[in-house]
Amino acid sequence: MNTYPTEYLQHPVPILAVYGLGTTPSEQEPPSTTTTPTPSRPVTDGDNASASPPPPPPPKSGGNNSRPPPSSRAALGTMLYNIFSNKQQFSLYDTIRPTAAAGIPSTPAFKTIFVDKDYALPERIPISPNLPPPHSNLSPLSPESPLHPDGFMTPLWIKKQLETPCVVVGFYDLWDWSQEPGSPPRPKRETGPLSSHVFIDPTEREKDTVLMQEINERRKYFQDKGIKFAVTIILKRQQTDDPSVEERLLWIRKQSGLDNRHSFFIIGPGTQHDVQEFVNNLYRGLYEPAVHYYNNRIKKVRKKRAKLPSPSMTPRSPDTNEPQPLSVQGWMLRYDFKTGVFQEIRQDIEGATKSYESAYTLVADMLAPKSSITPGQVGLPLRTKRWEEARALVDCISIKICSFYLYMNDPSGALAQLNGHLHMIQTYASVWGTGEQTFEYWAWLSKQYRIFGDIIDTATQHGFKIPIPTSYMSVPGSPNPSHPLMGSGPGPVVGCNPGAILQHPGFYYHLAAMCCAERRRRFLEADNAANVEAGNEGTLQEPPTTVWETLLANERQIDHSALTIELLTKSYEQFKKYRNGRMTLYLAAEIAGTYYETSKFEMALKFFERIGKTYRKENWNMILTSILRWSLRCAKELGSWERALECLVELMSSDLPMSEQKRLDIQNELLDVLSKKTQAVEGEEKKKDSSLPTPLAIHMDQVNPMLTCHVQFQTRANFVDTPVRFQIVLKTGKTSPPVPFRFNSMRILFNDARYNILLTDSNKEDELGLAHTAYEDCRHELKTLTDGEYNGWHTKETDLRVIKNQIKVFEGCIVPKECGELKIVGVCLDIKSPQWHVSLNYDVDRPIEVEKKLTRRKWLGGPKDGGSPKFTFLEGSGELNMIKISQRPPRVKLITSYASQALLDEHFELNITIQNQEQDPIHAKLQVELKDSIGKDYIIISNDNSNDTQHSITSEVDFGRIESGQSATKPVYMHAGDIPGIRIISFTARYRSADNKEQVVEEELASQFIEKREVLRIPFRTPFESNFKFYAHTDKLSNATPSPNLGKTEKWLINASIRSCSTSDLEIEKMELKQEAFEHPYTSLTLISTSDEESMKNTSQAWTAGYVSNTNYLFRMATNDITEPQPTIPVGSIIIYWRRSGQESSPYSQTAVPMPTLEFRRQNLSVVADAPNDIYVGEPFRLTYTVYNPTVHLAEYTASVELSDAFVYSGLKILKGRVLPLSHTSYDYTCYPLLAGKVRLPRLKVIAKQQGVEKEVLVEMLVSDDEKLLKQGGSEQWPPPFTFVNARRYYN
Amino acid sequence: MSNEINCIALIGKQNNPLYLKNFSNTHPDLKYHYIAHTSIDVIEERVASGPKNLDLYLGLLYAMEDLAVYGYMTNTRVKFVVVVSVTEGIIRDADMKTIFKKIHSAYLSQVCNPFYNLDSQRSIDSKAFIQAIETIGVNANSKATMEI
Repeated sequence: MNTYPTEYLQHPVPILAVYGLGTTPSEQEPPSTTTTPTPSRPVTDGDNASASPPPPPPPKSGGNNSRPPPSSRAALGTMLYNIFSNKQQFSLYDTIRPTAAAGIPSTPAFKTIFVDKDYALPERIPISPNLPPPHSNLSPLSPESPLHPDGFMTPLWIKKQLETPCVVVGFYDLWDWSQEPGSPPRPKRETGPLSSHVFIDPTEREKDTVLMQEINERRKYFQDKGIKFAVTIILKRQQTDDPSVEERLLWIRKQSGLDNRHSFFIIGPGTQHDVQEFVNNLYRGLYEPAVHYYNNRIKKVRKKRAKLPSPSMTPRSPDTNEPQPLSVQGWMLRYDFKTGVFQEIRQDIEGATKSYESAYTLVADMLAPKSSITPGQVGLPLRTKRWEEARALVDCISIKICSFYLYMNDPSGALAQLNGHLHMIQTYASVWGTGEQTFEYWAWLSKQYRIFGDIIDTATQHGFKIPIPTSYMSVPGSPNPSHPLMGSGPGPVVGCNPGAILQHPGFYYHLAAMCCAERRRRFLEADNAANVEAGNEGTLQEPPTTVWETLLANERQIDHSALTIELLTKSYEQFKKYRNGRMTLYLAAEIAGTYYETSKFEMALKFFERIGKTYRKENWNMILTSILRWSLRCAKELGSWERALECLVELMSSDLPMSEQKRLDIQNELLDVLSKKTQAVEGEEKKKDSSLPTPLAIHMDQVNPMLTCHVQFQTRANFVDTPVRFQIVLKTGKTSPPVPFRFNSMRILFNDARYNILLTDSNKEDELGLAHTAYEDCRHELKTLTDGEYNGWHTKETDLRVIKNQIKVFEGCIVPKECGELKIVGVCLDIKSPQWHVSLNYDVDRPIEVEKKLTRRKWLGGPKDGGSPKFTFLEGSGELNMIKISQRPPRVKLITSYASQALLDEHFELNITIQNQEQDPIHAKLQVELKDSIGKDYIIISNDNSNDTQHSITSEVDFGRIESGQSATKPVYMHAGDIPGIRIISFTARYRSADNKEQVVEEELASQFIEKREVLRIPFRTPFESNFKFYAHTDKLSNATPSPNLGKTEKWLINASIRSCSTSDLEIEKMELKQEAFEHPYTSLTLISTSDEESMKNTSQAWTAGYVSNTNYLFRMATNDITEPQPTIPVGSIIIYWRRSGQESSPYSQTAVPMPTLEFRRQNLSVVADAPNDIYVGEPFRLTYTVYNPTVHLAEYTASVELSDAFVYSGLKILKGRVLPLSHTSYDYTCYPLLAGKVRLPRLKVIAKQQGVEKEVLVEMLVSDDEKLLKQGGSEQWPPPFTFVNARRYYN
Repeated sequence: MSNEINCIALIGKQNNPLYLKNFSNTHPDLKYHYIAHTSIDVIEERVASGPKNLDLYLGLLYAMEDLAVYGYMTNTRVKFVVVVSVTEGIIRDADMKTIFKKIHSAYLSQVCNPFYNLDSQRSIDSKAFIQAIETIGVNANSKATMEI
């Protein structure tokens, strides 16, 4: 009962027998070479050609065919053979549907058999001529039949039908000259004057006649048998365009009495497509006769059935053990089945369904324990040959009926047949002893479902649409009409029977698989029982249980699991096809389970792993739990301990529903696996260093976590060097872990590795660590690891136990050293054992789920006053694993103090104070910079040796360490040169914490400085104001100099008055004239004397504010050539060395007061009076008037002496004279002073023409005494011609 | 209603299980979890291919072995699944609809709880809701037994 006879299940089609293709060995010889006598035929038949309908044109390939057609006859034969034989298996859906046929003429299906040329049907030769022909050798009536005496059907019968053709087609060649060996090629046939007249060669006619006779013979033979006979003439290439060939064919056809349309075909060489088309035409032409043939067979069978008596009339005696002849019911079944087969062959599916249903009822009844058709008859004896035959037949008929219903688009009919059949057999099976408790039953059921699935699958492949289960709701005419009395709803349809809804094959394959699994279980039970039995009672029981034992032995050969997996896989594919992705997961789970049962753990594990993901994603935790448990079992079997640990860790999650005991078991198992060195691992990894624990990282966001981990920074932003507080919150589920679970360490990973923290377990045992809300302070007393894997990490011991329903908060604190983002990127919980290092990794940096984003941020305050710690809300929501670290605002104060007035040229002292307002001592530096500096501005930081230092506009002062709250002051000196005005100076204090002991290279720290900047504007004033007065004096000429004289000297008295502008007292070290070097070919300036040389040289003076110092300078200016243009002569400057009073330590500043330049006076006619210095009354003296003419022109003048009361004189009173250019004339007067005091000299009034105007030339007194001149200054000089006359010296 | 309710399941809009109650003693919970999970596909396909004004009641989703799975989907895409045992008789849609309406109203009461997070993927653990579902199942089943 393992397989059904294929004959019962395959779909039969009409049988076509073909011969003459030349492909079988017996047909290698061309038919033309037969030695059949060739009776000569008259050639007159060609006349009829025009009158008769033309034969169907040979399917020519046409002239436009690019591919060369097969040239040889053999090739065409092969091609035909291939086309005929390429389809040997037919399905129900190859049947022409009556509805579909209307539109496109489809090709009917034929099964082709190849026979010999002289093929003959098997004949039932009567033993003697007067007896009727014997029964068929398959009939129950013939003794040699396998059915003798009481069999009803055998697959052989169907096989026989499928070997009996209903149509025979013979292929023949038309004779041609080329077949005659050695014959010359025939010239082109001539045509008569009328083209219709074609002369047929007598030789050709002769050959044609032979052919015609042969055909006729065969035709007659097959006609007698009721079999349709058709002929196909194969034309050669050259024959296709021979006009005479048409004539010859027509002649042959007519002579052999063949019908033009259905019995006579012609084929010429052509392409594959042409030949296929020809074959299709052939099938179409032969279909009708084929149907006719089978109709005749059906009629014959029906006639026989009608002759049968009613089965109720022929009760049979049940008592005899002798094999009884076939009952009437059996004959009825036989005939009905035969009818069904013939109907099926002729593609009358509806008819076949009815016949088969009838046959089904009959055979089912025969299987029934008590027949309802033939009264008194009991079912076929169990496990007999006939019983087996009946069971196979009933199943096959049922399958046929199901597929017919599907073909007729009646899914509920098909399902009803299946369900009815299953139900019926189930009922009988319990009687047969093969009920639900036997593996036989389940094997059979599995097979039924599987075949039903196959049938639906085939149907869907041919366009059958599986209705959706609720289609009855929308279609009023439901295939499941409900009971009208029961229906209370308004519609005619109130519901459906879910069992009566046809579903897609996947469901049936699944059922088959389930049955197969059940079969396995039943078999194992039976097998065990048998073994026990055999063990108990020895081999004594063997002989009586042979059948059973063979069954068991056979069943042992079967790989049930492979079958189940195959069925599940089939189902899986179907569900995949119907887009039931989740169902496929279920099936995959079943497959995996089956693999597990057969100890294919690796495969099972692979499946479990694959499907686990979806269930995890969609939170189907119950299923996931089951899958994980299975995976765990597989992993343990495989010794894949890493996988086992993964499963165990996930199974510790509270989300996966589990009883407390089971959870406890899991936890214990987890600890067991961790602690014991498993042999399998040891064996596998002997090569590795077994002393090292195996690392295993589990990413907790990819599994259901056994505890959740959250991270909160207290604030969103903070400053460098300021402690940042954060909390790691571990939260366990409600039910797991049932007993305290101890982690060995917790690693907190930052984006900057130097903050990483390693918390290790302190092995505490107190109750506090297991409180519902536990707070662990890990802010202080952290040590830094100096070696090992975690070198540089901060570490502390703390309580790392967790228990169910607990929130454990670890508060930590780090001090960021740099600006930027500080992130906790991960938290790892480590479970360590000598063999394993399992780390549960929490990726804190992942984007958080929406749900978490909405919850407000919480912060667990430390326990206060012995109470339990409490959560408080923080600002914002979500999880904050990142904090922004920025530079702190500077907390130092810059104070500058300086004198109210800044003077140019001095080193102006600025006292800068840095006050540290930070909490820590700092290390500060001050950078001073002058902005928009001009010329000689510079800054120095020390006032000592100003000469050496390079003058620059920036300077840096190191303030060193300043304690918190203290301040430091340093002076800075600033020098502003030359130009008075405002100077801008900026101070930048840069500092960092002085606690930083690390000796980091300065550049690296540059960015870590905190800066504070201040800008000052200081107005600078000039310290001194100067005022100069000039007085020019003509120098005394020596009379010795010849006239004209080009040389000239002048005396210049310069009065410099310098005022101190400073508001503070100044200490003047000295003042000195710094003459400017002056080189000129003929002009020179020499200092004769100064007024206060003595005083300035030695002692320093103190100038109060507004003090004015006057100094006279006397210069002689001389030139060699007065006629030359005279240059401006720079005098130089007065350098004042000064400092502020009271600043004894500081050096003197120098201020240069520039003096104006000098120039020779304008050279004009001048009169110089020269009198002695000391004049006394009563003592005559000489007064000389000298008229100079420094010009290059002749000067003419008139002069007269004005009288003076104080003198009497002698000399010219009025004169008129001239003086040559660059010459002088002197007039001497002897004067006798009469009066003392300030008196007027007798004045020589010279009137000369100067620049065209007559005017008086002023008289100038000549002062020859320099000292007097210097003392007298300019201010005291009397206007000429006044002089001082002393009193009488002598009284005589 | 002649068919016994074996299981009532609620599935969230993200296809996560919201609640599942097994009333039978023939199959383990796991089986119904699988069934509820696989019915998601059928419901989704039914809704996607169905008309736009599809009734909330989706009717028979599929029958597997001796179990028939019925579906219902609220406008917020929360899916209800009821598994009944298959017998020979016809299951009336009106009966199934009534059961689904009851489940729907129980679910509505749950949703009306201001403290219930609609978007939560956790399963419902409200006592009132569990009680309501239990009542629906037990009542239907006792009625079924009475009819038999």
